[in-house]
Amino acid sequence: MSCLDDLPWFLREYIHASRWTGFREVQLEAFGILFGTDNHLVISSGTSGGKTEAALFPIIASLYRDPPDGVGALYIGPLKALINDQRERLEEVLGESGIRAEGWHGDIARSAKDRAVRDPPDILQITPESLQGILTNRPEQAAEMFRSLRFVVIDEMHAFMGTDRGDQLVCCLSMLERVAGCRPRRIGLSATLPDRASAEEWISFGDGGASTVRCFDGRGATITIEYNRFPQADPSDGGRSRAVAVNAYYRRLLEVTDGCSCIVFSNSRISAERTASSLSKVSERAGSRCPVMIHHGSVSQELRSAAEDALKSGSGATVVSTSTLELGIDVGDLDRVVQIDPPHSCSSMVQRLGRSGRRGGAPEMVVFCNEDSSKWWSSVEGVYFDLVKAEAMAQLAEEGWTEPAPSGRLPYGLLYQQTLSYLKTRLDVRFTELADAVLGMPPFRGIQREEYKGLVRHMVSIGHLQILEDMTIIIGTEGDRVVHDRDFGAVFSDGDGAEVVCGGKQIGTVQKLPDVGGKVMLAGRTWRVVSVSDSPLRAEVVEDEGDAVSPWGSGCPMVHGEVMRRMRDILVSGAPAHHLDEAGMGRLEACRVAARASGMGELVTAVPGGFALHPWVGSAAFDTLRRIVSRVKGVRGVRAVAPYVMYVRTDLDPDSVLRSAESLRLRTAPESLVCPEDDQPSGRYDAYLPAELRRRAFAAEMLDIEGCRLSRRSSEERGSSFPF
Amino acid sequence: MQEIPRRTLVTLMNALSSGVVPRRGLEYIAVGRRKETETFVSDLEDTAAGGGAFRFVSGRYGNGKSFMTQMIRNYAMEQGFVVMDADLSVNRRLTGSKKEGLNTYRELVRNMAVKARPEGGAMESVLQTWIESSEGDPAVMRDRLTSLSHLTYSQDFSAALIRYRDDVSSGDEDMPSLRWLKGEYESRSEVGGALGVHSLIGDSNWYDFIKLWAEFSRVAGYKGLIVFLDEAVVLYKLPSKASRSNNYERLLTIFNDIMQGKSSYMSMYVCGTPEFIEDPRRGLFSYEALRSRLTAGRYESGYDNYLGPVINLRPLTPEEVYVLLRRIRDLHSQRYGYEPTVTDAMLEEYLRAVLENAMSPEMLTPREITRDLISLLDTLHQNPGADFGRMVGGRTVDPDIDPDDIIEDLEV
Repeated sequence: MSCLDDLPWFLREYIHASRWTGFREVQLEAFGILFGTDNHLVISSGTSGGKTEAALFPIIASLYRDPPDGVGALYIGPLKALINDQRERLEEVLGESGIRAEGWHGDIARSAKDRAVRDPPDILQITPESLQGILTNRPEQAAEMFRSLRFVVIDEMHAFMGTDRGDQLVCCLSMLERVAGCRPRRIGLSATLPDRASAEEWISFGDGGASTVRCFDGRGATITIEYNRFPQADPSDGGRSRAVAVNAYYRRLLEVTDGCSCIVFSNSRISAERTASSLSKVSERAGSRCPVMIHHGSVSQELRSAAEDALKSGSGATVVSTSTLELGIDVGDLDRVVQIDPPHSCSSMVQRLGRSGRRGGAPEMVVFCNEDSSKWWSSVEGVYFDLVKAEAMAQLAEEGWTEPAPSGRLPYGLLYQQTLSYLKTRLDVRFTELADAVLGMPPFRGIQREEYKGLVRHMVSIGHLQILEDMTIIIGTEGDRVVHDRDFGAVFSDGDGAEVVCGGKQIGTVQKLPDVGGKVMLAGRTWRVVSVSDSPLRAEVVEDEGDAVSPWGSGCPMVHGEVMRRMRDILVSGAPAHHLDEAGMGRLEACRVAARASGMGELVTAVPGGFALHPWVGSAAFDTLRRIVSRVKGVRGVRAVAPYVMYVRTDLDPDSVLRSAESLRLRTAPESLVCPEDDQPSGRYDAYLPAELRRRAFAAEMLDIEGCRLSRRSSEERGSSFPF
Repeated sequence: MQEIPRRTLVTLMNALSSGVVPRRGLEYIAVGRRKETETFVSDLEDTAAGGGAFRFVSGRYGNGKSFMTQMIRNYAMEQGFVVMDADLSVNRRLTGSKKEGLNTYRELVRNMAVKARPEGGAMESVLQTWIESSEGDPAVMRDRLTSLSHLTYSQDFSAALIRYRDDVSSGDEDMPSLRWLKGEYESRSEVGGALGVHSLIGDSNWYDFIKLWAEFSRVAGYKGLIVFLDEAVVLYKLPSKASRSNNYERLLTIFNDIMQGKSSYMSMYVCGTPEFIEDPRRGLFSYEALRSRLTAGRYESGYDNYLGPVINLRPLTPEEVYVLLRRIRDLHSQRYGYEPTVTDAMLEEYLRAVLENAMSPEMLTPREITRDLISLLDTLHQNPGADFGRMVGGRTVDPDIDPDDIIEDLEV
């Protein structure tokens, strides 16, 4: 180990004590870049891939050789639990070196924070919200503490990229450089990454000068998909056939999870609760000693820690969880990972896969696709799409593909927050200075100065800002309330609010309880609310059509075009599906037959009253197309089952409708496709934005006017007579 | 047009052309504001008699608050008063956790001025004059200082003054008494025993020392002390409600102290914008105790009450601006020694043009117009053949505020 010589004595001791036989490739590569160049760095490798050490060792070496005057390295983690976890690991590594590391987040006492300000540790571990808090509330102290900052490590980078929280982190880091006059190197760690270019772009704030060390994706993983069908409860047999099927599923789930360390990922909190309680019952009945525990955002801290510890102990435990355990909290060696219903994205699938396979084994995931016939909306004309989606995602993940990070976002809500944060720390600010400092930060590069002026004007009109005669801008009475709120530093709103049911069966959840008569989009369809209840928070709906509130920003999975194309290949073009079990293969065959029968392979199929359109494009493009087609003269209505099919009610022939749609598409600005129902403030500060900016942000994030262009070639491929 | 001392004229014109309030020569360009001036003059008489006034001078940005107070300051010095002034800022307030109040005291004392030393920095001169008039005898000095004895900290203050005599005659660079009087000590341990004082001038008690200076100014042979605080709008802009509150509280304390006669031979003037005073949610009016005192003597059936605690400086009327411009023209010609070529009619044309062409004519301040006119006169003087009509037509005045900073169409 030649580069051992570059490492200080206590690190060599640690390595020796941990009985490492050598550095892994990812670590050697990372060392090379960190010691040898000045570049920012992105490290992507599986959970046990050693990427944390890859980043930390050179940092620690640098801090030891050349002690900083203040905080020398900042470690940023998305969760307090993760930070606490990392802190322990770090203490072990630091040993007797004399280098100090401290944590700083919502659960840390104020006295400890004050101490950290007076006598800054060499390494500070912090959440983005707490960093925002320091910058907003203690700016001079921030300047003191961080003036010698050399490194910033961003853990779970993929969780930040393309989100409001990630943008806020970029704002904080860029503001920190400005305030403290430091130019630290940034190192991003992640198990999964969208693609090299966008990751490097993100870590370097668009200025270039970044390298990537990558060695983990879905390749080499074992993914199996098991299919179950729960028939509708039949009164004639007292619902027995359904109960038998459900039981069989849970017994199989027990079989897969019993006796080993595993996480069962579920797509919603309510679903996780139900799975956990049913699995518990079955497990007890079978006399198993392996505990079944639960972990998600609404579960108490104690229960969550208990679940994490149970996994860490390695003695076998099953934890049913939502995405909360997706991120890298150390949970020890997992044998396998279970996923109920296809995950929201390939990226999520790979991230979850990466939690398993530590014991030297390959990462392993078992996906359960459960078709519940009592939920009539779970299949479309006989096709159970979730099964096809699971297969498509498994294939893509195996090939090393994940969704690219979202780009072109317009984070106006964050701009609002950063404006208030800046004004809290300074006096005598006029617009030019404000625009230079705030709008200049990387996440806002897509926003024009005139737009910003419009936002400021709006904030004045609602009393959040005040402009004095000499054109200095101060925080207004309303803004004052916002800025002094305990949670000012957070940009995300809290999760699942109300359940949405049809015929008593849950379709999904939405953040805010909708009004009776309002429309919601869930599971790809549009629904109209017929009744609501307060406790439990629930809305009863029936299917409808037209524009609806889509709970964007939470809970409505956007399917990428690549996944859709692979699904079409599997369903329509007969591409092989090798992850399915026997039952799954059987169901797939039936789906293929059904798909052929309803003409899903064609772009256009005639149906009574109009035609069906199967564009096979991603969710955003699909919805954009739906809006455009709805606006074609002569189209009476469009009922969509997103993102698979839309039924167009019209007397016109499909060719002319699609021709008109194309010409509309060419001359329509995306913003004009945004309707009042879309204007649902979802980010924490969205309610304070002018409607016009919310619309623009929605269009930028949720609509895809380029992608819904139906090309002539693709229709010919499908053998249709469609002229495009 | 009367002859003005050369030095005053040059200083005056230089200041006006850069848009700052001149320290001298203001009387030559003072226009209007007669009633307000009478109020101040009457205040000075009261102060000399042992009383005092606390007034807020309220006026919109650029409308002549600083000008007015500067004029009064100069007049007061002429009349034999000691004056002190300070501009409030982020670091100079009435009170604050980082000694922002003490910073204000230090600035006030640093800017102490008298007729013989109108630029400021007059403290040592005042002290020395006093020592000489006491013939350097500590007993005489102590005796004369007994009139301060009813005030808090008078013992320490007197001790420091007497000690100053020794410090001066010792010839030492470092004079502890002076440093103490200037408020430069941060902790008692720094002061040491030799000075013989038990207290320290700090954030919470600096006003008490201002009162001592006022009383002392009498002893030293002056008529009293006039204190000016400008840019009070800074307090309004403070982002923290608690900070604003603390500062307003302090203003109220001082206001009460002076108006209830607990201080003598001292007046204080605080300049701020109408918003700073009248905004019910954020300004002085948000503080109930202040609001009731400040509205007490306001508009009496339509007439401005010039005796109330708030003096509202209304903007100059166009006629008054015109008078100002004529004066500027005359001063300019005197400065450069030429016969004025710009007629009254041309000035009218100029004024009309700049008002018409301004984006918001009501926002144009006398400062901006003055600066612009001087610039125009400079050009005309250097280019005798220039066409006045062409220079004036379509002319716009450079605003004080960067146009990029202006946000239009604001609503609430």
